[in-house]
Amino acid sequence: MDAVTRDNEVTGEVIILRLYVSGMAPKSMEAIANVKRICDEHSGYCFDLEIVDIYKNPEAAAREQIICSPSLIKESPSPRRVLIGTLSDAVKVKRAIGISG
Amino acid sequence: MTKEATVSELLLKIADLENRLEESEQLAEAIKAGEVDAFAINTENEAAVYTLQSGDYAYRILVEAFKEGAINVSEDGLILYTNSYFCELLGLSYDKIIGTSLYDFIDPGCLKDFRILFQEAITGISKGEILLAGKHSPIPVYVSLTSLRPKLTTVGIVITDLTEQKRTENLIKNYQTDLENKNTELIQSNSELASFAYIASHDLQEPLRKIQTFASRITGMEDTLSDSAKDHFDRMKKAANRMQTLIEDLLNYSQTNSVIRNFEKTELHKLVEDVKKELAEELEVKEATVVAGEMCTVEIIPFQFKQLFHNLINNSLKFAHPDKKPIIEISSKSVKGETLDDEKIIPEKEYCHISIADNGIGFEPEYSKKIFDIFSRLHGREVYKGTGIGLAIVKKITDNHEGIIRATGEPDKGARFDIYLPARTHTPK
Repeated sequence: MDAVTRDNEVTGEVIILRLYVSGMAPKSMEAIANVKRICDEHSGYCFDLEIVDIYKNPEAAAREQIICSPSLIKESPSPRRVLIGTLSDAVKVKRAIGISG
Repeated sequence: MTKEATVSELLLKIADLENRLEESEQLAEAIKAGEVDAFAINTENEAAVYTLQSGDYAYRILVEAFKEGAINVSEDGLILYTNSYFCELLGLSYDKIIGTSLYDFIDPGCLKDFRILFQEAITGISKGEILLAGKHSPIPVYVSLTSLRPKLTTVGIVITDLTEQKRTENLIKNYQTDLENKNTELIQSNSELASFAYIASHDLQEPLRKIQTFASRITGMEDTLSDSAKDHFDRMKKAANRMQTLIEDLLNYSQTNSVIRNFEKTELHKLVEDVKKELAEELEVKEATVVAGEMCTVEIIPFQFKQLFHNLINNSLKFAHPDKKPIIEISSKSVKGETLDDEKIIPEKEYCHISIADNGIGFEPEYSKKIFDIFSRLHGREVYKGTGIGLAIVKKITDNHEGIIRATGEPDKGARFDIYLPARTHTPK
């Protein structure tokens, strides 16, 4: 695990995140708030967060093989990671996208 | 993969598998915990989204499609949902709006108001007009905020674009102002025309009427005239008739032209003398006396002021007391504005105070304003003839000179007109 998950604050690499949500669905809104909070609390990292509404853009979701909403994808740096759900477990989310603290 | 895979390669492989396992476990957990709203599935190259509760389909389509902005905001102002129209309204992509603070899109001038609206909405509902910070200019909108508690700890906001409405309102307002201005101009020009028409018809028609009257007297004695005299007489009658037409045409003409106002330094004394001569006959019949006291020289439009004196003296003669010989006292003197009591008086200015008082039948004090209204008559037509224009013209002439006129009276004790003309320091329009 540690061999591939580096701390991106040290490398200064841009963390490209894509959050797939489904309109006004409660879990989706919860996920947005949770991801934003994590990004705001770790301003030392460089985030590029894109939120995609699969209702407004279903093609994008299918192209990405997203099967659930809400889903958070870490596109870069590799490896690509997918997290599903409300993202309320901040520790798990941070580990998956490679941030410490 | 070869048999000779290195230890490090194998470690990487294990890490990758661990990752995948963790993802799968996490997915299973998320679904189990009910953390998933929808599935997106790619079947035969066609994308489709399936919600877990499909009963809300129609609601979603409605909110997404209707032409009002609809957003759902966390209680600290984070935009958690926006429909397409709100993005369209701001001219921004969905991505630029979702997950950002709503306060970023409020016009700085409206932030305070919006904060209050938002606070109210957390405990209930609130509505109001605010400005959104548009790309190029502020966008006027009507916002309706509703707390979605206790079901959701968010605030639902519906935003109605008022741009079109405000534009129409402004157009109407401009039209209204335009109309009001035009109306004022019309009223002004109308009364000028009325005054000019009156002056023209009165002054010109009187000598003409005399010519026609004397002509009619000769008509009975035509036999005593020589042939050439008869011819001259006919021509004279025709000329008089032509003149009558000319006057009528002139009246029509006056309706399309405004009066040119030439202010001249004038001795009021002389004007009064002229008017006395004009009215000599009437003064004699009524055995009236005009007492001209102290008089000053002022800058006025002479023919208008002559008309003013003419109308006022005529007025005094008309409303003479049946048991008294009319005495009309006219005087004028220079006074300081600060000694006068009227809201329109400028205290620093110098005024010429002209006073015309008579010993006629007077009037009830409550009519002191109404007396100047055009066509206003305090007495029946059968008792006192007149058109009700005379004093209206007096008022209009005073207005043209930026002056003030006041009438005071008491039944049987006479009437008194006080005119205050400001000393002229500029040329009026």
